[in-house]
Amino acid sequence: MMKKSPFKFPFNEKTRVTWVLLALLVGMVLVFSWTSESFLSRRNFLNIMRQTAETGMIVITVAFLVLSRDIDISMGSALGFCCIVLGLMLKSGVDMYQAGFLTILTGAVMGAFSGFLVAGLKLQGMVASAGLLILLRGLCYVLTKGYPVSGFSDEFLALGRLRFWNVLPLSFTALIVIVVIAHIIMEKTNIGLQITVLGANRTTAKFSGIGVDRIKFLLFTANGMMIGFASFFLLSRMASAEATTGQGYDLDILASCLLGGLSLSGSKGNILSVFLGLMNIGIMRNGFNQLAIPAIYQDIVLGVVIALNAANWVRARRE
Amino acid sequence: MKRKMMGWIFVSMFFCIVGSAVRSEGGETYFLCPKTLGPVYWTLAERGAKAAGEELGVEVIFNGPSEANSSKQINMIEDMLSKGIQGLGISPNDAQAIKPLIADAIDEGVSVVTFDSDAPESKRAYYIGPASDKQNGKDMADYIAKKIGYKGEIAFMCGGLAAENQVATMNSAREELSKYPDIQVVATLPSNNDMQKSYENATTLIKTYPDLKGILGFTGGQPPAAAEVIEQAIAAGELKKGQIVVTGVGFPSNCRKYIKNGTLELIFSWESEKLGYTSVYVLNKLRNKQPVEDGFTLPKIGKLNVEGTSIWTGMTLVTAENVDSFDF
Amino acid sequence: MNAQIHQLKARFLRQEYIVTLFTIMVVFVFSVLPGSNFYSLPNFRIILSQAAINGICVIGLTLCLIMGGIDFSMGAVLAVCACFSGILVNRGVPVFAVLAASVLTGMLCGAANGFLIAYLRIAPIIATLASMYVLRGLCAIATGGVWISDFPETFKWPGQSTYGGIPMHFVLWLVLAFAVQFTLNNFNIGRKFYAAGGNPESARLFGIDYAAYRLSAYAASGALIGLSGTIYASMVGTVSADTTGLNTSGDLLAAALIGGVHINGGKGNVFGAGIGVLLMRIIRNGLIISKISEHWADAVTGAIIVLALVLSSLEKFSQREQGG
Repeated sequence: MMKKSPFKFPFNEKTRVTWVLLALLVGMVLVFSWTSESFLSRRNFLNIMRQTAETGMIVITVAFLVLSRDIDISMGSALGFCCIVLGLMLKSGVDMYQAGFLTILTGAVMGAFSGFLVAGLKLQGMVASAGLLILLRGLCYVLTKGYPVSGFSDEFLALGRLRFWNVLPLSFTALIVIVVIAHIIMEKTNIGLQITVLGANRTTAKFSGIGVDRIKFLLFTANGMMIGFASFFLLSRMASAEATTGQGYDLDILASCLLGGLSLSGSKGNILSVFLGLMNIGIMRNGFNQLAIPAIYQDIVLGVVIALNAANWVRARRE
Repeated sequence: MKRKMMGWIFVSMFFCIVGSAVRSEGGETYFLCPKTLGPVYWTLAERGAKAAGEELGVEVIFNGPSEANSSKQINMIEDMLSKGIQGLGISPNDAQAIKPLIADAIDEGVSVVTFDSDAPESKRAYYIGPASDKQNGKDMADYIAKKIGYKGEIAFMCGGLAAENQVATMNSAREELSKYPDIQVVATLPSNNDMQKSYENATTLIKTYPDLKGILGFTGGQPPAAAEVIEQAIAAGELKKGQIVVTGVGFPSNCRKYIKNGTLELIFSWESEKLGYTSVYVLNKLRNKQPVEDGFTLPKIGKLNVEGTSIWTGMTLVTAENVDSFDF
Repeated sequence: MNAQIHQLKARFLRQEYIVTLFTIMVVFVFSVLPGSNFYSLPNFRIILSQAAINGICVIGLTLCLIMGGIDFSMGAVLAVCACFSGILVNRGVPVFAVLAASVLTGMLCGAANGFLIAYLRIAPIIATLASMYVLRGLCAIATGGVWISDFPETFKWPGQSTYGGIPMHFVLWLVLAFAVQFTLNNFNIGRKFYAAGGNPESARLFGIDYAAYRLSAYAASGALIGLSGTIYASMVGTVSADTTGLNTSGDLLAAALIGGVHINGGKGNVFGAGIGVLLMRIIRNGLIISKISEHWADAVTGAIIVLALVLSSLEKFSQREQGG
């Protein structure tokens, strides 16, 4: 489970997924740059990075949840909810950074509530988040009464377009930092070990004295906080939030996790592979958009790809 | 794992082939982005746009998100902008969210227009629509007011509250109706473009307001849903024929039955094909630095009304007499 | 004494009863609100009529849930079947044939889902999310985005006929619900469903072909959706690939959860889910009729789901106390 010493080529069962995804990524970049002259441009990469950054952050925390054998499907509504809360605060004059902090807090409360349902009341993540999905979406409507929330300060909007050395957007930089930290947590810290054990076998984890409930609660809360954080960037880029904001992100987020080798019945991937899965999907969407492939086909392809990836081709036991 | 890779390679090869067919020949490329893909309304707009493209010798790409979602629409436009286009036409899902993007596009030298739904505070050069939302709202309000004898309760049914064209039209209608002291607008029900919701909204409406005299629909899905509900209620004996007047935005293809039955006497319609067609032509004019003057004519359409930065392609009033002559 | 109390608790804290109680309370609240037409026969008829479509579909979802699976693609399958029905009817195909064709189509879609889940062993969430996108996309392409409407008069009866004021499809829903639940409770096949539940291991030990049962659950669910798809087309009069069944999956899942169907399988019954459907419909209807902004509908529904979930976990705790 621990990474081999950096001088040995880390190609083994655990990291195989990562290498495959890397190869796919390179392959796609090649394909798209051949079919579309402008693919390999700084501008286009900027787009890809900006578009994947917000979902990427959420993907990481969801990945943690899946690694611990749980799931949260309410990300879309939660994202919309946080964007709306943030937007309303900004409109009523709250200072940008304070509002951001409060949104993260809101996300934390949201996540903590899920965590309470799962860890405290022993509900399943799926169930709890299904309920939250509807509740949060409903709150979105209540808060906005159907109208979009917009009209923010230029300062706030500029954040979404901030980039370092004119090539690395702020949001993507944040994502990279998060990925690195997440990877280190999973691979090198005690908690990471505990999560892995939890993901492998819950009973073993319990008997090993791991605070299963505590970890789950923590993970859900962290997920909520990350959603609040991501909504800050999303709102800045979109300049507007409405009751339906966030719809449709669930598929991409789950797809990234899946592609990254995670699964609800034992994961073969890690944070890095999830990140690569995310990038693969982001590049695919970008490439498809540039090829003017109608969005309906894009979704179909994504659906088929997900199914292919998730299919357990090994039919060892017929159950 | 091998099969996964094979699957991916297969998929990417497929798109290589598709992709090479889409390479532009070096002429101009315009990108038109509707609110969403799917409804035949947009398919017809695409038809008009592509026809114009052929007449002018420019490449027209027509693509939109699969859901009426502004972030997906923005992603798509961003991607096309970095691909390199010269003209951009948008029917924005969210008029506010699209503003920074339009500004960026213009900074890069892309000509930008909006069609079907406007982003009035943005820097787009022109808005191509059937008629001004203000005028539409006023006309619809006047029509229904007259039909119910200038007094009674009216309900609004719309698709969603974020789309500029609906909000502007509703506000204008509301303002016009406020001139009649005996008319009250008792409810505004959005349906999120879900047909079943429209149907349910209409059903509950006539139960909640037994004195309802009129229903005004602001997107194509509302009048037929309301008409269906009313026809069923009349058949069940709960309503009298002609008790409630329904009108609003509609299209012959889905209102035909109700128009022929008389439940809908008149609907306010327009041809989305003209919108697509005109947008491409206007973009072309902008690219060639040609002026856009009031009354300018286009090959398939004829004269166009220009009011400030808005270009009107004209409304079509559909009644029982002409309902069969349309193919949209 | 303690044991008796525990027994009573276990019996009556059952989610289905709680939810029924809830529903009665909600009906009461809406009825006494001033100026509302809620408590009236025509209104109840509307509620029953609108609930019936979701009700029939939720029977199918219950079957899938009992087998430990979930289904997000129900809305898409509904759209496919409704559009297909509409197209056939407009071509002059007799209504009975249309019904049969729609049921068959739904069954095929369901079986496809079932195959992905049972035999390729793709997790249900993923398989049905994927098939949702695929089906809806295919439907949009096949219909060209056109709104299918203008159905002939002969097509009115599936969705619009009444027996003495009670909508026919509501009666159909009741009949189907009873039939299915009766089978589940009293026939061997039904008991096997419960026994297999979400647990493939125990199924094997019982000699049950887990995969086959799962597939049939999804196929049956698909067939039911096909049925309600035709009724839907008949009732609403207009269907299209992108406006039909948009919220269905979420609503159905919520209803089933409220109604006490366990997401891990093995527990829950069709009536609970049915009450869930009714409750949601009543909330929405009540809000509009009482002229409260109907934006609260989703929020209230969500809150009720969460509440129901909390209560159901209490049920679990009380069981544990009993040592069961």
